[in-house]
Amino acid sequence: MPREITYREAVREAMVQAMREDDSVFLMGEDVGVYGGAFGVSRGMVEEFGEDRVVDTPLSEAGFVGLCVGAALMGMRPIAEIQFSDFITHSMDQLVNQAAKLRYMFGGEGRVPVVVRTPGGAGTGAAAQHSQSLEAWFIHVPGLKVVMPSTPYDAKGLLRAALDDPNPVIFYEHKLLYNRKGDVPEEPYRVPLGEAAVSREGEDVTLVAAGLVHRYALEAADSLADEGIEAEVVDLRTLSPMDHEAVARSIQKTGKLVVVEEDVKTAGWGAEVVARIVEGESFYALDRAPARVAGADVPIPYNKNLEAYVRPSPEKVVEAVRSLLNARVGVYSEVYS
Amino acid sequence: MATELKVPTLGMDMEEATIVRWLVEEGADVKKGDPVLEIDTDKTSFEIEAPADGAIQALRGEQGDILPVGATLAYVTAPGEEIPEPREEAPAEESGDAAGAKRRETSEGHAVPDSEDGRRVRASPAARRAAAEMGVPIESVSGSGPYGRVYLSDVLEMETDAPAEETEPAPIDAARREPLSRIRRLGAERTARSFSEVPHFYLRRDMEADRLVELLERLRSKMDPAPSVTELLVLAVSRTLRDHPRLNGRYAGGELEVHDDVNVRVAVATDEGLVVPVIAKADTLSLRELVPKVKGLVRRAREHELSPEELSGGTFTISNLGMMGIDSFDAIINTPEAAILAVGRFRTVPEWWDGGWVPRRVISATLSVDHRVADGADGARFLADLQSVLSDWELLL
Repeated sequence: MPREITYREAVREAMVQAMREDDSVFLMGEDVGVYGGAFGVSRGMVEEFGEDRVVDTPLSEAGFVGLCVGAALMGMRPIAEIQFSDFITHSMDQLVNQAAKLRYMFGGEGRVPVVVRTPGGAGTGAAAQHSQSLEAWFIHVPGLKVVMPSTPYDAKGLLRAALDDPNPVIFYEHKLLYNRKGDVPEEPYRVPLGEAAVSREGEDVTLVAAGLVHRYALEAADSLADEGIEAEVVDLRTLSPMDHEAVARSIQKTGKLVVVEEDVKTAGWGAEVVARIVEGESFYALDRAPARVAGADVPIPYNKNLEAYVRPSPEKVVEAVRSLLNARVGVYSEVYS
Repeated sequence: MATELKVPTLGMDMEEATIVRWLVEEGADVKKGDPVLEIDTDKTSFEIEAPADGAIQALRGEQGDILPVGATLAYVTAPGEEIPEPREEAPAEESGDAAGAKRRETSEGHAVPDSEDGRRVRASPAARRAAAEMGVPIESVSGSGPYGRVYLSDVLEMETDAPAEETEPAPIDAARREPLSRIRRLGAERTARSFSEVPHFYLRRDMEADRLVELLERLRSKMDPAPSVTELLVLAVSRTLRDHPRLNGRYAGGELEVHDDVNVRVAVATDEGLVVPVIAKADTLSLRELVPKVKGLVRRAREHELSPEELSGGTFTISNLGMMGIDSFDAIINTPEAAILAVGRFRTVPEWWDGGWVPRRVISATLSVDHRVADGADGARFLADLQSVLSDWELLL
């Protein structure tokens, strides 16, 4: 029986079901208890599980993430909630030097099954310190997995898979996705990490996206369909490990690649998508130079108009596809004289 | 440093040249100014001279090869000098190679760009792969992208275009075949291209020519050499064109190219085909300057003595077949010019004038216009202004 719930509820349901099944799962973070979380994700959980399993912390990301890493090493399955993903900077050492390395350095004897949930992205007028998309940093660290679901269904299934995983997982939610509704089965299920999904089929161009901007890619695909351009949309769902084969399969069909990403363009994860396509056999499937629709290389402005200006949008995606097909992208000036 | 010999440019619309034959062998000693190579442009053929003293080496291109302006043809080296290495190829091209794109090697082992005319072929990786799989040389595919970039769809189109089976044309009882002269061959290509690519339209009117006839007769006794109809027409047309810059311009990739100079061409029939010399800045020449200039060009055109400069850079053409008894005709535009004026013979026609029929001398004028450059009204205004001059030469004062 299909049932519509919000992305926020889907995340909560995954946590609640995991905590009911497994005593070693607990949630820790700022205001996750009585207040129910800054975005209401853990609302009602402290009532069911008590303050020992839904733990309010001081403003101390380095402290409680480190605590979660230690608990994971000792056999617990902690979920740390970072209130805004921008604050993850405080816990970088715990994540990059500890969580990501310990299993390797102990020769596989120790495991760090911690999940760090955190809302990223802009679009809420929350300005430069509460709007960033820093996910590319963690893709650069072997030992960390990075997940970025775009639908309520995937949010629930991927969070369960992340909790099953014996390795640290950074789980990126998006503030603008929390209220979005979608069909989510009530019973527990898993969406495997590292598998992309083709969310729309098309022959003319491949749009690769993840997270909130996956919605933009789908909206752009609808507009493009009105012009007779059939876009295929690939939702990466997991950024690390990245499902390059799924992208390459789509490129084999369309010959054209546009990446849609919310993080800044320079050294963003879209660069990795393009690089993998270009350096492999898939290069020979390309019929146009690939393009990226990404955030501008600036801090997110507070002013609403400026914020919209620097962020990706469905219109920017449509424009990028049009210019790609009009072939003015990647064209060198005439070289012979 | 070795001295590089390149394909020279001989006119503003010259883009490429065809190699007719090398006049020297690889490694031959040459003196500066020695003719070393004969090439054809779309206007004429001429000899290229050695740029320096020394041994000529690394000759590039064979008979029939088409090379762009600026392409390297050879190097002349003094003793001890070396031929410079060709520039590094872009990595993308290496990849293109891997995909099976064709590439030639010279005897010196220098990599040569993958198209026959020396230009780098622009093609997407997917297009290169598909072409290699189909066994189609990538340079034979006409690209639909910018600068002729070949896309996958262009290659796939070739497959659908290709006939399923080679069908032999039905044999005809040809008495014999003879090679076309170079001029006729080039003319065949140019006119075919113009007639298929340029949207022509034609404006026809009879020009009152009483005053023209009168002027010709008057000047016959006063000037030596006396002006012909064609020369007076060049005078009138070149002055009139100043007020009609569109017809003196040309269509250039979505834009109008305007020319300050009025360089009028005159079509000259020769035993080897049509030759069209240019009277540069015709609008600035007085009749006394113009008449010997045109006569000289026509004479030398018939003797095939014109230099490449005298055959390039025209902006408007006049073709007069009146002396051969033609009433009127429609001419094919001499691309990339915007228009051509075709003129017929003098005829006498009756005209109703003041209650009675009077005889009038007229000549037919047919203006062929490139519709991308000008419209009917533009051409009509030009012909009206030209008529004013022919009826009242003092307007040129």
